[in-house]
Amino acid sequence: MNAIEIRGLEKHYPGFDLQLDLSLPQGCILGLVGENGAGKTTTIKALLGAIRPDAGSLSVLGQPVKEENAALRERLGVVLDDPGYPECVTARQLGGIMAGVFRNWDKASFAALLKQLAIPEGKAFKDLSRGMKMKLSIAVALSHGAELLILDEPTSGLDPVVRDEVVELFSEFTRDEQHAILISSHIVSDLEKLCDYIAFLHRGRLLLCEEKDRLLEEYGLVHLSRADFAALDSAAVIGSRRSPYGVSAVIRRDAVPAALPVEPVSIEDLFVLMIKGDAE
Amino acid sequence: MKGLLKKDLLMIVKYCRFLVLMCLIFAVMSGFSAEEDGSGNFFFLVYPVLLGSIMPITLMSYDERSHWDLYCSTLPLSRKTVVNERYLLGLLCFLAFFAVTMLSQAAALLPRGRGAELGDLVGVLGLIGLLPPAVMLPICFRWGVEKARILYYVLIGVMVAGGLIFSQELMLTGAMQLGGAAWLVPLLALLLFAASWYLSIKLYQKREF
Repeated sequence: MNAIEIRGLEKHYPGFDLQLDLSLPQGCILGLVGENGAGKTTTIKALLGAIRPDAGSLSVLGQPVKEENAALRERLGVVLDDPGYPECVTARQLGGIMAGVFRNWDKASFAALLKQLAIPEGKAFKDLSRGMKMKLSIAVALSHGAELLILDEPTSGLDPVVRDEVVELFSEFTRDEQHAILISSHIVSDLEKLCDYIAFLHRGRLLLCEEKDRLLEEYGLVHLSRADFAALDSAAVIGSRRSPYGVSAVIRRDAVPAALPVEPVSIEDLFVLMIKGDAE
Repeated sequence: MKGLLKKDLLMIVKYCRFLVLMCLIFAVMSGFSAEEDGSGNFFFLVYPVLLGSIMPITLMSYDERSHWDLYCSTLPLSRKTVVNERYLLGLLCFLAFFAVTMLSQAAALLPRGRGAELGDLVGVLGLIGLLPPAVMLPICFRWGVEKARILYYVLIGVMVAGGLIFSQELMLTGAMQLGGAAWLVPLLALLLFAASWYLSIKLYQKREF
């Protein structure tokens, strides 16, 4: 069963249209990459029932997404870019509030996570740093037996040490094969560490969705002179960047001559060059 | 709903404690300011009840600022539950300040043999306390507090102007002129409040975040 199934999703706003098909297999982590305004948050909102799609069907953990599906939401752990907690509450008080919201609230697990992540229990939410706020939000998401985490930019604004800590928590979560994560981020390096699948969103369209390892196997990076680049089969080129020294291009490994020196491509380069190629 | 109530009570304690204290003082003072001739300070009389009943709107504005609405829509709570909690809280706040005001008025009026006026006060305070949230809450739930705030200022203006023009005495006289039908006023206010509750559920179910 897929943890997430999006079929023919359409959402139209003035100046922006989202059209998307996407699925996330159970037990996997899918990273949603895209520039600002690409449609990542809109996709997540549609999955959470916070907005109504104009067309298409969405199902989460085998159940159709509806605004009123409280039973389904018990099984979701959600972290939003802006956590949304009242500014005045402390982590301890937040635990008390959530105990009255989630049937399966695990007080002991929440307390352990606060300790593990060194989150001060008695400090008001507004007085916490951005990193602490996100860690608190993650602690809440992991303290009620969620099977699927839906995370919107959970690592943005965090320093590398905290990011590493958070990424480790997510990896631990997916050790259970019934668990899955959908994570959107600008920080592609985090997704590269964490994800099994990567989906590129650009201007409301899915550019590609592929297993990360396969992406890294299929695509490579070449640095060529302009003349050598011009001689390449255009179908082999996914995206390119011109500089005074030549051209850097992401290519399909199987579509270029074997003698061509091809470097491994990072997900970040792949995404940036694909977008640039699209823009050009 | 337990979690939502807990959150809102924490927010009242943190953000609104001075307002609550001030309302309690005003509610008690309303009794002291009741004059022999039936007049008194109308402001002290209505302010606590009015402020108490719109407490949910005050909290909603804090929630909007912290983007709680979107996060709340991801929690295992139906939209109906979210609306129910806010109306229940508004009703509880209204009843708390209403009770203190009525007790204070009873302490002032009963020794003077004017207990009959208490019945009229129920109507006046019921209307003043329940009408503003009944009008504003559906707008808050559908379009947010900012838009409802404009209406709030208009309503407050109308009520203050009403208080200045007609005074407590005149309003009470008006209520007394209703005679046996005076009980209709709070009943009407309650009916409006109930209709507003139902409308808010319907409107909030259509809200996108």
